[in-house]
Amino acid sequence: MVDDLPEQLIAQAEFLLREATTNEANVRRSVSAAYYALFHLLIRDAVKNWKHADHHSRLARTFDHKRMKDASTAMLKEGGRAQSTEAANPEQTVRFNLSIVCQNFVELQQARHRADYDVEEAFNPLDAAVHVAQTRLAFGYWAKVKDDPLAQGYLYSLLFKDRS
Amino acid sequence: MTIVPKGWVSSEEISQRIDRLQAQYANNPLVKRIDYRIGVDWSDDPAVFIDVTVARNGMTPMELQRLAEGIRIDLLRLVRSDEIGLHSYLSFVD
Repeated sequence: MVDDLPEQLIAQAEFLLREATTNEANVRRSVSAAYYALFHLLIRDAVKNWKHADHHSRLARTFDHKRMKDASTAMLKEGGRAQSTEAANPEQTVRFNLSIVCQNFVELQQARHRADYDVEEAFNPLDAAVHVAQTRLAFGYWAKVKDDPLAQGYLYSLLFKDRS
Repeated sequence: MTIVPKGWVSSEEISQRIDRLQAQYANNPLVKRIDYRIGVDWSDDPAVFIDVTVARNGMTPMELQRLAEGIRIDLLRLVRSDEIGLHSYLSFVD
């Protein structure tokens, strides 16, 4: 697997918005790259839990966008009232940080779909800039929580659905 | 009144939740208005689409990012639409 693909993709998204010519294609590709940056970040950290490294790339191919969306919205639904204040206990803080990641993932998925397929109207560069910046923030929130059991449970749920 | 397909949550409940967000930003000079509509997302799941119209005059990119982050956090704190089976999607327009 290309280990730093998520970092390359978010850097590409930022490059397309800040340094490349501002045109419709670059704006749209920046949003798409931002989504895939977060998509591959989560997958990379999920497959690392599989101890046989030679299976990582095959395992990575089994992730499904809709399943990942459903797992993310389920986490948001369970989240209850998000807490980010100093009064929040450590578990609430982790849940809050993870909720930010989930929220961004679901948002980006919709934005990516719009950027890649909905050509009826121009994609607002302002909206694209917000998506890319929020993706960078989501990377930071994820780094804070990724080793927490709650976050590890989220990674599991991205791939597997518990029997009800 | 927003039309919500049968079986979904009531439009009144959604409206009340969005009202909280609108009230939070009613006096924010960076936000001109917050509108919303109910629809379906890319996977045909019901969703609420929230458009935040910003006043760009004099707003720096950093201010915009802080505003966007603040509104996203307020979605988690105040709106919590996922609790009622609707994800909230934010778009920023000027």
